[in-house]
Amino acid sequence: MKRAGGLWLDAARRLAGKRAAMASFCLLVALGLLTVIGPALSHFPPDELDWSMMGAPPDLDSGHWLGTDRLGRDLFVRTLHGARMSLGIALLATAVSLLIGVTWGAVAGYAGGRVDAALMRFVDVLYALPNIFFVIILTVVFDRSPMLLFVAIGAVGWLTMARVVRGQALVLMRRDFIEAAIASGAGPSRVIFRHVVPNLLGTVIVYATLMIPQMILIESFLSFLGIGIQEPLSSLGNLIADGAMEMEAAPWMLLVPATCLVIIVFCFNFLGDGLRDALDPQDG
Amino acid sequence: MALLQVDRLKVDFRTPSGSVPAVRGIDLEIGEGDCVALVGESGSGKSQALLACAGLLAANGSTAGSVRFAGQEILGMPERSLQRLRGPGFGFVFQDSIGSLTPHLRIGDQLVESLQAHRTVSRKVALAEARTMLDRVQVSDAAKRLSQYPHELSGGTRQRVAIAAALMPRPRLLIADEPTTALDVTVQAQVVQLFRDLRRELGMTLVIVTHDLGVVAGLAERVIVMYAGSIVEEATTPVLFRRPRHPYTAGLLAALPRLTDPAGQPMRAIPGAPPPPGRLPPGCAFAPRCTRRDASCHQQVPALAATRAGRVACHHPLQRSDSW
Repeated sequence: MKRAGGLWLDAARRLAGKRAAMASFCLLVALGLLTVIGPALSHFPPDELDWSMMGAPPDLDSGHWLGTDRLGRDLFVRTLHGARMSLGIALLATAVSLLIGVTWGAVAGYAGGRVDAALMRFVDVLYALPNIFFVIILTVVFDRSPMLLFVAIGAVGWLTMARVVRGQALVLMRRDFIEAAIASGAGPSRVIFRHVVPNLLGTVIVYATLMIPQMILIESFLSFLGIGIQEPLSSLGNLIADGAMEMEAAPWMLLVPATCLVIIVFCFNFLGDGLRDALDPQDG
Repeated sequence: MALLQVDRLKVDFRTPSGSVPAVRGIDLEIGEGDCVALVGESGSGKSQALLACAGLLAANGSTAGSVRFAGQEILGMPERSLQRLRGPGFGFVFQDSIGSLTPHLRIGDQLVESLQAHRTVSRKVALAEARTMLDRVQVSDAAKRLSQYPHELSGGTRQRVAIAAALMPRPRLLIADEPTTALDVTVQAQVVQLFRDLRRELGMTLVIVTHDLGVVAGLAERVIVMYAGSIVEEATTPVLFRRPRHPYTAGLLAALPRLTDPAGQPMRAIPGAPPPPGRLPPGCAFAPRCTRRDASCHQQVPALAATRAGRVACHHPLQRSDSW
């Protein structure tokens, strides 16, 4: 018999015991806070050009702790701004994916039969389209803006989520408590959102934490290609693209944003792994 | 007027190997305040008949005939109207109390949930009602239970909570599908006693599906015996237990082990097995296993004929003089 407090507290307790996941979690929170308050620590604004300090290497005395880019803008501030932008887009895009994907999948799994087939064939068709193309077309047709970017990425990311959720929902629909809920007069929306979806949350949360780094990578990739975040705004993607051009003369321009990206992606992956283990009650 | 009136109800299931009849045209009537038991072996169609009455058949099931609940035709009723009936009309208690409670919902939320599906009540009022209901189904420490999860409760308590959840919207008819099968014997006795108390207090109409004749004897006023998708006998409980008319009923009763039996005596099982649905013999479905059969049993399906205490479908029903 488990102790009182329920599934979530148990899961939190198990997660607290996983060192890699907890360290990642703390690091992410710290980094998140730093992207918000960090720029205030430095007296350089992110878009101020300094002609005397173009491409300056990291130097504690000058105040450009991580150096400057080739236009003399402070790299510490720009990287934090970029990380904030990348994280923000990734989180929002994941939220969009979750919303569409969970609803879509749960409805398909609940309804079954023809509705299920129709909904999932639609997903299959979208799957077959190369999604980077899809995002590129969207950003070309509509005006480029960070807003559109995350909607476009999210609109592509929900496909896998819908499949995962639908599979789980199909299994849940066979369970007795669903029949009991239906027998007590619960309508479709009540069954889906009170009895099916909350039971999927474990899977969904794990999947979401693994989805965030993917979203960051897509965003960075698009910005790297020049169709994502536009100057003077920075994102990790366009910072890396800029840095790559000066790789030989000024390696810090590449290393700083790239390291930041790697840390974020690693941390989310570790956290996702930890959560998966913590939410699986069969595992300890 | 009867609360539940079933006429020539048929239930068929589409399977890859063809249509399988689960219920083959049954008639029954349940009045307000009745307590009726539906008895039969696994696969006799007793559960499916009642699920059909609530429009809860699996997607590959189809029905024919008529089911009237309080005068309203149920079969073919749109899903939305059915939803309104489930709960305040008929409540269900299932065999598997562990599985019939949603695992992530606290007991309180679970009970509030089954009320709020039908009435707009504040959470506070609903929780108060939930607590009263837990007291009524004799769950100890009701206030504490409200904030517990299903996995923290014992099997018996869980079944009581499942009963409370079914009772929350005050159903006119409570259908209990093998409510005691998953419980151990002492808890079974408690749950039977609980049903009896609830009937006395709430004047509830109760249909109980079971294969446990002990439960039947302790609870039901009337018993309907099903075999291979048909009703073979119906009688008031004392009459059925003392003077069964159908050889199948007599066989079921004789198969009950008794404390007075000498140790080591083999069980008096009915020889053979029920015919698989879809491959029923012509004539009486029980004929191949029956000791009283003759040529006519293999040819003609016996009609369900009225008796003094009920109905029986047999060419050669047991008479007063027969011992069994």
